[in-house]
Amino acid sequence: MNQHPARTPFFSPRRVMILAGNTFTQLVRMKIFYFLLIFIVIAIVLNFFRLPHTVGPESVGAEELRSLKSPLIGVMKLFAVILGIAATALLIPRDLEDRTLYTILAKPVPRLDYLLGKFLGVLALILVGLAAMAILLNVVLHFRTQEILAERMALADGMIERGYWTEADRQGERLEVLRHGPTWSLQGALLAVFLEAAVIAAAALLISTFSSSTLFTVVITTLVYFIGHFVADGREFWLRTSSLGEDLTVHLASRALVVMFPDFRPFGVVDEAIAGQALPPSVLGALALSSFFYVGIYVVLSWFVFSDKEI
Amino acid sequence: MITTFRNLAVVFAVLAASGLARLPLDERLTGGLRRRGLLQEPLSIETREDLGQTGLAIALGGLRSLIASLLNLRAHVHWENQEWFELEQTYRTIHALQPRTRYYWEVAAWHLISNAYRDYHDKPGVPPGRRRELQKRFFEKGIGFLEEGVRKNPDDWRLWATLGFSHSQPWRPRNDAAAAEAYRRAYQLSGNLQTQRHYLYALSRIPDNRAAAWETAQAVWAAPHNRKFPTVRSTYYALQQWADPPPSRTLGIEEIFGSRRNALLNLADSWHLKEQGFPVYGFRETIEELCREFDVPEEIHPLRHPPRQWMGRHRGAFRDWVRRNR
Repeated sequence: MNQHPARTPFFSPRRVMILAGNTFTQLVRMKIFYFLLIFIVIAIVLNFFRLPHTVGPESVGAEELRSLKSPLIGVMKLFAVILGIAATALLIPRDLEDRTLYTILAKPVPRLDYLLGKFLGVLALILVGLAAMAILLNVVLHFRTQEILAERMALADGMIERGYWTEADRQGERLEVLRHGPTWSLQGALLAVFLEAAVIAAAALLISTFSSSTLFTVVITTLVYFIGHFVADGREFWLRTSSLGEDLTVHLASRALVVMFPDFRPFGVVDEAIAGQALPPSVLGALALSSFFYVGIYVVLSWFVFSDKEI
Repeated sequence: MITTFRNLAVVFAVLAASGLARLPLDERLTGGLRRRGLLQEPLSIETREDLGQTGLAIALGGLRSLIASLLNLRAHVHWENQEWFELEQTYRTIHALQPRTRYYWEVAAWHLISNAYRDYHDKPGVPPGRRRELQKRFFEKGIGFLEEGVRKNPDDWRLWATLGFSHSQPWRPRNDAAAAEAYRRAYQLSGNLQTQRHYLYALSRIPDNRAAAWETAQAVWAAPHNRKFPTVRSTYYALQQWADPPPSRTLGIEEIFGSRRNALLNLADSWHLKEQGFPVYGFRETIEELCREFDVPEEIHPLRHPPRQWMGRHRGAFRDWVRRNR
């Protein structure tokens, strides 16, 4: 007979997945997916929207597709970021409030598992929400692209018949429209939206381990998000200018800002993908690596703080 | 409390250390994305002021594309109300938000170059001198938008072609040298034959550039698709007359136009393009010779009437005559 009680493993993926599943269910019960209805309404309205004016036959078709993508991806990004901040900020205080936290931690559940489970639950929710919206976006975009493509090809055929265009021009026009349709780059942009939400959710997790107030976490994380969008400006200023003649306080404050906050500027590639630019896999890989780095640091620090926290 | 402060200190220290370690990596990632044209420049102070607090917050939140789409609708309202100064300002902000979207550059330029220009042509309540000044100013602003657009998107051949087009319309201030350069860039980037033809047209209208125009005309002629365009044929003919190449390299009138009848129809129309600055070397003599050959009566003869009068009143009768006459 074994003399020693069974030891709780330091980390158990199974436990983490159970906690993540519970968190996901808990968040779904908050009727978050009603947001999808808003998205559907916007998608339907935009599908019937026509640009109020035209400038030339070359760019309007593609621009109509861009006008469809831009607000829809904007809404997806808002959904992902707001959910990433709010849902994560809510988790620990809510578990404290309804005393679920005590029940869970009284069991042989390491705090790392608890944090990771909660965090992955939020990520799963964002992923499912984004995936549902992405499917809708791609379907709407596909049909609209085909519609516009048919119009453009009819115009191109007329131009060829009159001798103004060649077959190469027709092909160029076709590629121009397709470039704005549901491309792999667009799917990459949606993945970038998810990665950005994951980073901000991880930052919210770290802040929430210090704070017991949801509102405080939401406000501070939102500030972190906005500051993160101009950290790159500060970094460029730092690297390209000398500190001579600069006030020491300003000098230290600007550098602290640059090193402490996550840099969200690279996620601006989403805008370029909406504009029809191709996103190479290497760029997505670099973004993913960068995001994993932030998430890793924030989760480890959250664990460090949370493991000492008196509950 | 002490534990909390200690933890906070550790967290800040780790964040600072990791941030410092990341610094060169972040710089490389951002720089790489900028070089590939996948990341926009930071917003200027002016743009930040124009956006207002809410717009700035949203733009900084990574929704530049969305804000630009909404501002585009605002610009549409300015267009409907013919508020050209406000429209220009709105597009400045849109361009700062989305400098790589061709559509915004083209629409902004079109509003200023065509719509504002036409509006000030006969805008009631504005003295004529002021109207002319405003026409000129908005035309230049429109061209300025396109020039900035191609500076920010040097690989976009369609934007170069739009710049060339805007510089070469006969009813607006024309700059053939700038048009030729823009079309040349558009053709270089795309190989599009239409831009190659327009490059030739713009170049041929510059009197000091005949040699370059003749060289370009030969390159244009080398693509069989181009040969069916009347302006290409007449320009090639005029420049060949100017260059006077050796007989072995000279194309005959039937080789260029397909037949002597087509030559007469084509040259008579193109004769009137001389008002736009197109070269018409040898046209007069050839038209006279062909008119004699086809027994064209004096009253519909293309050289006996001022261009506009002939185009308006006699062109139809002339063409019927030449087609009927064997």
